Amino acid sequence: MLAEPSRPLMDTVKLVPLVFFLIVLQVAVTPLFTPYPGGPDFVLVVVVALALWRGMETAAVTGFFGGLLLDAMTFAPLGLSSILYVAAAVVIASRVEPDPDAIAISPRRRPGNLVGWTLLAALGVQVGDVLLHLLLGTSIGFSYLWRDQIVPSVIQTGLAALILSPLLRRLFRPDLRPDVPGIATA
Amino acid sequence: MLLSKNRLIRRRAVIGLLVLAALALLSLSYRQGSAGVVGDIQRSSASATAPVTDAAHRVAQPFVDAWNWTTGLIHAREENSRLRMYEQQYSLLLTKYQSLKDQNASLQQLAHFRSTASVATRYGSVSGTVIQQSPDAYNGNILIDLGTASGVYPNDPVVAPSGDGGGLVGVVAPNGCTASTCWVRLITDQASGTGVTSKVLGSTATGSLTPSSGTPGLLDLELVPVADVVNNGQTVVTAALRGRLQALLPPGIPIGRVSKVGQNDAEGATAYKDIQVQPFVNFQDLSDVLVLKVRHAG
Repeated sequence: MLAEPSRPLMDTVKLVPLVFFLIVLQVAVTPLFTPYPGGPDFVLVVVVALALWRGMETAAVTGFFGGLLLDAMTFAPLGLSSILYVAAAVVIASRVEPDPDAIAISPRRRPGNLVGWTLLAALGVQVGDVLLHLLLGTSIGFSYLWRDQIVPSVIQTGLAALILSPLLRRLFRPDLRPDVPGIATA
Repeated sequence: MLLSKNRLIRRRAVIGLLVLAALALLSLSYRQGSAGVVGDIQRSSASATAPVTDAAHRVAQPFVDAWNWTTGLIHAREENSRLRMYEQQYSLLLTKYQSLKDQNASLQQLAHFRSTASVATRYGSVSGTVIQQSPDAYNGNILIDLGTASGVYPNDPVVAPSGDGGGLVGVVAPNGCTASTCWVRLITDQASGTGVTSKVLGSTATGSLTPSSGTPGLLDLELVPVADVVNNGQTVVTAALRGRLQALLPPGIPIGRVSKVGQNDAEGATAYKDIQVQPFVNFQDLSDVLVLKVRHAG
C-alpha cells in the first residue's frame, strides 16, 4: 500500500525520457534505414504496452502527449496522432480490462501479447490515419498507401514491439492486483 | 463499488478531456495553419529538439553508410555475376554473328559469281556446303551436301567464293556421288594425276594445270611453250580446247593468278615455261561452294 502512490510518479520519470528518445529515433533515425514512407511507430508500441500493463488512463495520457510531440516535431497537423493514440489506448485497454466494476470482483486478466496487440493497433492506427486524412481533405491513392505506408508500417511496428518488448516489460512489468483476491474456486 | 465508480468517472473524464484537447488542437491546426499559435508551438518544439535529432542523425549516419555499403556490395556481387552471364551470352552471340557474317560474305561472293560469270549463267548452278574435308595433306577431297538429287553429277566443276567472285576448287569425283552428297576432288589434290586445261588471259599460252609438287597449295601450269609470253599477275582460267582435244571443264572459270614465271634457255633443257599459279580460293577455309551443272545441262 505504501508503494502505490509512487508508481505514477515513477512511471512518469521512466516514460518522459523513453518516449522522447523513441520519438527522436522514429523521426531522425529510422527513416534512414527504411526504403518506404511507412516506418515503425515506437510511440504506439509504448502506448500498447501501457494499455496492457498499466491501464487506460496512463496509456491514453502517454499517447496524447507522445502524439503531440510527434506532430510538433514533424510539422504534422497537431492533435492528429494524439487522437489516434488515445483511441488505440482506449480500445486495447477496454478489451483487456473492460469494466472497472468487473475488476473489483474478478482477478485481473492475463496481460495480452504485446506484439499481437501492437500489430492490431498499428493496423487500426494506420487505417484511422487514412480516414482522418480523408476527412480533412487529403486524398492519396489507397493502393499506394497500402503498399508503401500501411503494410510496411504495420510490419515494422510489430518488429519494433518484438525488439522493445523486454525493455518495456522490465520498465512497466505487469503485476496482479494485490487488492483483488479473485474468485474462490469452491 | 464506490471506488470503482469514481475510477470509472475519472477514466471517462480523462479520456474525454484528452479527446477534446486533441480535436481542439486539430481544429486549430487546420484553421490557423502554420501561421498561428499552433505553428509557433510546432516551430518552437522543432527548434528545441533539432539539436537532439541532429545528433541522433549524425550518430546513425555511419550505420546507415555501413548498411548501404554492405547492401551495395551484395548488389555489386549480384550485378557482377549477372554481367558475367551476359558476357558469356554476348560472346556466344558474337561468335554466331561472326560466323553468319562470314557465311553471308561468302554467299554474296557466290551470288555475284553466279549472276555475273558467263560460265555460271550458261550452265546453271546449285549452291551447297562443305560437310567434310580431308584431314591430311595427302588427299585433297571434300564432301559436299549436294548429290544427284540436286542435279549434281560426276565431273561437274565446283567453285568457291574468292574476292568479289569465285574460283575453281575442283570437280565432282567420278563415282563419288550419292543422292544427297558428292565427293569433290580438289585441283590441289596431289593424288589426282590429271591436270586442268587452262589458259592465261591476255596471252596465247595454254597448258595443263597440276598441283605443285614442291609447294603444296600452289599450281603449276605445264606444257606452255617458251615462245608464249606470260607475265606475273595474269589471270588463269579454264580453257575449252588444248590442241584438238575437248577439255573436261567448260571454259572461263577463274582459277588463279600467275605468281612466278621461269624458263630454262640452256641447250638440252625442256621447251616449256616454268609457270606457278596462286589459286584464287583459300583451300584452308572452304565452307560454301557452287556446283556448275554442266553434265545436267548437257
